[in-house]
Order: sequence, then structure tokens, then C-alpha cells
Amino acid sequence: MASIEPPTLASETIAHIGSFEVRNTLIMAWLAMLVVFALVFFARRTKFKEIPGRFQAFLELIVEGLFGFFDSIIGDKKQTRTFFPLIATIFLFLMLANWMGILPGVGSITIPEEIHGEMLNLPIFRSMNADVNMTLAIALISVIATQLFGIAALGILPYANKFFVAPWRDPIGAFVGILELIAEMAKIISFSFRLFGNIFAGEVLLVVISFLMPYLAPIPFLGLELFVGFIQALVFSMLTAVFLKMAVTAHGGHEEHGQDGEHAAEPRSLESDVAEMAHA
Amino acid sequence: MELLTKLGINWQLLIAQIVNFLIVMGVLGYFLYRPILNLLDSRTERIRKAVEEAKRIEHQAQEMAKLREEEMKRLDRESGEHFDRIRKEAAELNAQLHATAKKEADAMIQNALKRIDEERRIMMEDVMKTVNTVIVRMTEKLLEREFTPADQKRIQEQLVAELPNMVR
Repeated sequence: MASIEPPTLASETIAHIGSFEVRNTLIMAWLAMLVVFALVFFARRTKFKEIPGRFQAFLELIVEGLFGFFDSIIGDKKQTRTFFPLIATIFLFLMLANWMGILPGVGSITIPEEIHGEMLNLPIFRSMNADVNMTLAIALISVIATQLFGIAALGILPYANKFFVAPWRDPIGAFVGILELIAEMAKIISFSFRLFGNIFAGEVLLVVISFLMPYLAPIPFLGLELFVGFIQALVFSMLTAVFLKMAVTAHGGHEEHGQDGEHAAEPRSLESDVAEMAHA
Repeated sequence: MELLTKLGINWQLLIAQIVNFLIVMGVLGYFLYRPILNLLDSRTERIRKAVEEAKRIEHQAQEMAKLREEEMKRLDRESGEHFDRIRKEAAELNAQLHATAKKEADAMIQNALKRIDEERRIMMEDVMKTVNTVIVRMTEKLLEREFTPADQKRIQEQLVAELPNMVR
């Protein structure tokens, strides 16, 4: 009976460049980048025209649609314009990589490799986001960008007051500040593992279904994976947009009671902010 | 650490992926988002201007239509007044002509009546003369004698007195 080889948690190393490991997910990332560059090259062969052709109209539709969507979350055109390259790239790059992860050949084209004296068939291509390194990288970018934009918008001290409050002045504020700090760290983990978990689970699901009922049965699941890929990219980018907006918005207490933080209002909970943004 | 190894976390790969993402973001941002957003902004601005211009032209057209309507109303009113005045003048002229014609006709009738009366009187006188002469001649014949002037006068007076009854 044929055996099933489920994907491993860690991505597989296909080659080495010095001490640098070239993993199958990195190859997929490069392929996704190649697609993006080809798209950009194709789009910029000629200058963008005032009356667009079909391809330009398609690109405009995507960019304008995304801009409108993120603007409805952020609620400020200028800020949306500032954040747009980051959040739009997160959405487009993640979605493209997620969709490329279910192309035929991804996970099924293998090369034999001897690992610990055992011959294994390693897939050359593997979905980019089925690797914590990639999801962690984007999560780090998202969270660091959030902090940088927050500092740029509010100034370093007012922004730091969000996390560091003197306990002898405001014990509750100090405790909440610590919680906020932990929440910022938790964002990295939640961002990276949510995306990784969904995409990795999708890979496993497709492998299992393909093994149990080949040919026709995986088709609906491929559709599901397309949907999951879209939703995950959307969630990642939308949450980044929400966190960015929260970071650049001054604390209610600071605005109303001055900058000393003595009478800083109780910070709003993350859930209420997200709910408010989503509602907006 | 074991978890990190199991998950295959590798700092070199992590940095490589960060760099990859930043490159993609830079390329998309510089070559795609910025030009398209600028283009969309300029197009929006152009459309806004065109809409404003269209509104201005529409407003102008409405003003002109209003002016035209007012002018038409004024012309209608003026032509109506003119027409009424002409009709009134025509009626007056008509009445004047009628009056003149009636006056002339009355005068002509009066003249004609006068002339008829005159001619009748002359004719009556002629007839009287002729009748007198005839009567005198016939009476002379019948009586075979000559009337004296006194007789003739008496007979004539008698006839003149009876003639109107005879003519009637």
C-alpha cells in the first residue's frame, strides 16, 4: 500500500549557498517575486495612460479597490496613502503566494536527498507561507512598521507613554502599559502563526484528500484553499491597517488632559478598537 | 529552542524573507502604486473640474433659457398690446367711416328730397298753368263766348281751389 508523506512543519532545504540554506519556501518566494516583477514590467512597458487599456484598467481596479477598502478602515486618505504600500503589498504578495501554493507541481515535484543517512523525496516547491520564517518575517515587518509609524506620528515620548507609565503616578496605567507591551509581542506570534497554521493546514488537507480520493475529490478543497488564501491575506493586511491606525492615533487621555500622562484616560481595549474599525 | 528547530526557524532565512518582502514592497510601491494613485488623483481632479465646468455651463444654459423665456414673454406681451391697440384703432376708424358715410347718405337723401319737392312744385305749377289754359279754352268753347278777365279770374280761382281735390 502506498504511504502518505505529510508535509513537515519545517520547510526543506534544497540547496546551500555557503552557509545559507535555500529552502523550498524561499524558492516559492522568489517565484512569487518573479511573478510580481513580471507583472510590474509588463505594466510599465509603456507609460500609464490617462485612458487606460485593459491591463492598466485591471491594475487600476485592483489598486483603487484596495485603496478604497483600506481607506474605509483607516478613515484618513493621507494616512492611507502613507500606509498603502505596506498593507497593499502584504495583501497582494501573501495572496499571490498562497494561490501559487496550490498550483500543480507545488509539493509534488521532488528531488531525492539523503538526510541523516536516509533517502527522502524533498519537494522543490512549497507554499511560501507554509514556513514560519516567511510569516514571521512579514509579522515582524508589520509590527515594527506599526511602532515606527506610531513614533513618527506622535513623537517618541508620547508613544512610549502608551507602554511605560510610572507606577507611582498611575499604577493601573502602568499595568495596562505592560499589557499593551505584551499585546504588541503577541501580535507577532498571532500574525505569524495564524497565517502559517492556515496555509500549512491547507497543505496537509490537500495531501490527505489527494491520498484518500485522488483526482476529483480535491477540487472543492482547492477552491477552499483559494478562498482561505484570499481571506488570510485580507486578514493580515486588514489587521495591519487597524494596528497602524491605532498606533498613529493619539491616546484619548493625552489629547484631552495634556501630555504629562498624569490624567491619562484608561486605554481602550484592542477588541473594541478592532470592532470599531471593522464597523467603520 | 527545540520548538524553533522543529518549526525550522532560521535567522538567515528570516532576514532573507524580510529583504524579499521589502524589495517587493519597494518595487510595487515605486513602479505600481505611486504612479497609479497619482494617475487616479489627477483623473479625479480632472473629472471634478469637468463636472464643475459642466455644472457651470448647465447653469449658464439655464440662465439663458430663463432670459429667453422672459424675452419671449415680453415680446408676447408687447405684441398683444400692439394688436389690441391696432384693433381699437381699426374699430374707431370703422365707426368714423360709418358715421361719415351715414352723414353723407343722409345729406344726399335730404338733397334728393328737396330736389323732388322742387321739381314737384314746378311740375304742379306747369300743370296748373296748362290746366287753366285748357279749362278756359274748353269753357269758352262750350259757352261760345269770350270770358272777361274778371270771369277768367273767378273760374281760375275756383279751379285752383278744387284742383288739389281732383288731383288726389
